[in-house]
Amino acid sequence: MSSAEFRDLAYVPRHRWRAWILLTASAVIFFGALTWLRHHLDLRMRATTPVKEAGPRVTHPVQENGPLDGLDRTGQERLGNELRMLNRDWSKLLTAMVPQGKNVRLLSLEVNPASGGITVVGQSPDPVAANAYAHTLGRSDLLKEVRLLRIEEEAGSITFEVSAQWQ
Amino acid sequence: MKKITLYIDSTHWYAIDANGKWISGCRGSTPDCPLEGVSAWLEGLAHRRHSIAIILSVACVPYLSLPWNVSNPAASELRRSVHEAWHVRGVSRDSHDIRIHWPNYGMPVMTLAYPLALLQGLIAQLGRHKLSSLECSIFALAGRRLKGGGAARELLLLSECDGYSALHVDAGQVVDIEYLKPDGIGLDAVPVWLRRKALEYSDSNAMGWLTGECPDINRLCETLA
Repeated sequence: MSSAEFRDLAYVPRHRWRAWILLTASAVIFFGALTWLRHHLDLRMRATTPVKEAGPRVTHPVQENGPLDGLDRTGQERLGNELRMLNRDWSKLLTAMVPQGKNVRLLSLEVNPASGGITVVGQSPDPVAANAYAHTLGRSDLLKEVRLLRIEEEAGSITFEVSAQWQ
Repeated sequence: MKKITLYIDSTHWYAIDANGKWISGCRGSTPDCPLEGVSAWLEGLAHRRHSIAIILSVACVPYLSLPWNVSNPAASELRRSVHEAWHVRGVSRDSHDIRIHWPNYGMPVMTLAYPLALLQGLIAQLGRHKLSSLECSIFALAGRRLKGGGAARELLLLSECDGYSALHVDAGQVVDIEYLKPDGIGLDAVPVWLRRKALEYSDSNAMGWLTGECPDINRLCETLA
């Protein structure tokens, strides 16, 4: 009695098992096709690869090389130190380096991650502000051996250079 | 699996027994639609499992004809607007299975709401037999009629024990549905209503009674003709 014209107005129980069968059949066909394709490609690869002379096959144990193999103790210590330097808290250092006031501006900041040496070039309106900035850096726990290397007057402003050691 | 039809109206159920005769029984008024004697009828059939198509009379299925809304051209928006229209009438997706007849662009949307309690009650009473489909009588009959093509504009009438219904069809598309109670008075009295519709559908072939497989439908059709 079902009519195609108003089929969407009829209640028809849904048969979920049909959907599962369809899904399973699709998966089987898909993986079957995939397996066949792989097998076919393997056969073609074997056909195109030149066959080596037959003989007794000797298998050698494969030695797995570690990343630090070949380095002596000194080299390993040096590498360890460099890695520790690279894994430092860089954000804390940058927070300590940024000047608090607005009158001092940083022009460049060079950090050698291997040695921990820091060179800062900045600009300030007067030498007093540059000295105060260097003094502030000296009081930081992160830095040691803070030295004001250079103070020059250029075009009405003071350019200074500070070196420090990141500890 | 042989397909068997069970017709249910507001008060009775009708089916063909193993001897090919129409039998009937009373129907309860509770939402789960208890059918008296239906288990005996099912046992009287062959022992194998049957697929049973149930047809409900128009009075048993809430229906709604909504005008096409230009702002709802997408299917999801159309579905949402239909659900909102049902929600206003106290019908929700939790209590009813809402079916939508997807119309051509610009045509009215026909929608039915089968009560879930009735559905579950019927499935429970069928026992080991399978429910193949549940349809509303007028759409089941009109679908077969329209499948072969029809007039450009026609009115398909159906007589049932619990009322009269009519489908307004325009170019093969249902544009409206009307329902009349069997004891209508005044303009809703069936002879008066038919004369009114005869003015609307002046072509003599444009109005036609849908005859079904249920004996009462045929009998009432003859009475009204």
